[in-house]
Amino acid sequence: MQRYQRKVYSVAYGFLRNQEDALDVVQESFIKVHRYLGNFEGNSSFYTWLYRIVTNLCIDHIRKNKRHRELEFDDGLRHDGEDGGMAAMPLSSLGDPAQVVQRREILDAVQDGLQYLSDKHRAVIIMRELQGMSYEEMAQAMKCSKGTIMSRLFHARRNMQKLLTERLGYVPSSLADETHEDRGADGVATPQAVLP
Amino acid sequence: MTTRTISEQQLSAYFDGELEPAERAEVEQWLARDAAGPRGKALLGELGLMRDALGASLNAEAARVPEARFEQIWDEIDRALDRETAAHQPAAPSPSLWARALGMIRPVWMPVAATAGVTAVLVAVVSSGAVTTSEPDANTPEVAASKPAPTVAPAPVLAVAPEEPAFPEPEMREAEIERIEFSGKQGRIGTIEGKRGTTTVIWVSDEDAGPGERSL
Repeated sequence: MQRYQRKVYSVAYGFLRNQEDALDVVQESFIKVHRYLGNFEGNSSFYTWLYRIVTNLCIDHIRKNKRHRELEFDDGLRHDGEDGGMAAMPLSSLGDPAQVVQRREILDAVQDGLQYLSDKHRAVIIMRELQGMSYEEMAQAMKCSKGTIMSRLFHARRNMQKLLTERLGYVPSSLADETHEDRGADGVATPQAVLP
Repeated sequence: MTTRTISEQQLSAYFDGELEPAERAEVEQWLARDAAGPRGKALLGELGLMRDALGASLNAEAARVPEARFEQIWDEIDRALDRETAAHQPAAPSPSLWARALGMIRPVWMPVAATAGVTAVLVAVVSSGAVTTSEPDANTPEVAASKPAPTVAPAPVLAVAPEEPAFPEPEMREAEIERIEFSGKQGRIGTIEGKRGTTTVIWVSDEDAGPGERSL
């Protein structure tokens, strides 16, 4: 069981952005695993089952914490309009992808980016990118439709890219120009835009 | 060629493998177009890079937590599970009213019972002397001396006059060794002539020996 501890922690930390809160979730997750191990039917892998437990605990934690903070993160609150979108590519513009993910400033920028995402956006990004959950599983965990998950994840990724761009402070001008000038020609539209 | 456009949201879902087959085919056709293909592929590459960076960043964060901190967590998990196990075990049956009453009086009655027992033994010892002295047989003192009556007579012992000795000293003639002394006690040795011949009697009294005699 101990071999999962850091993976579980990284997921919990991704959701909660606080070391002690994440460790609390790690502790509670493994207690639940022991408690309900008899109920584990083996339909999914143990890893998936464990991640589901962690995810539910993190979402519960966020909901409880939200009541204390009295803040509501509306999906639309941090959608940055229809400009830009994924056209800004802060990571791929920084060089060899294999080296990019090893650079300290990149990893720190990702941490900062997560920090500024809304709880819901952070949750869908963690569930998808770190846990590999399907839209259906995410919809069940977040008690919403698959369509909502698809939209939320798209906006979460876009916001994350914008935050990375701000943090890393470098977007090649050629790409930025391309973003605005060639979108129509590329046929890549923002979700609402419809091009021939 | 398709005339339909592809949204970034569709591309995001395509990246996740969440599009229906027909929609996925449309995206793949779009990606194959000369004009859109490179741009779309670059966007997909960016999504992949962000996924990798996110995983690497959170793994690095997890690596910062010292192993000892996780050990604390496991200790706490063990304690929590032990508490749960203890809570689910059937509770011991509550003691009966009688048992609880006994428990309450035990600290009191144990010493009392012990004292009573000691007192009873003392009474038995003393009363055995009383029974013997109640019917003294001056003619057969050897019986009283060598074989004390086993009968326990609890009540009459209180009736014995304090000045009356438990064993009346027999009238005996002197033997060759007339007196002894041991453990602070003194004794006298003599003989008594009875019906069955001469009996040697060692008479021990409770009187303290004199300081000079203790050396023996």
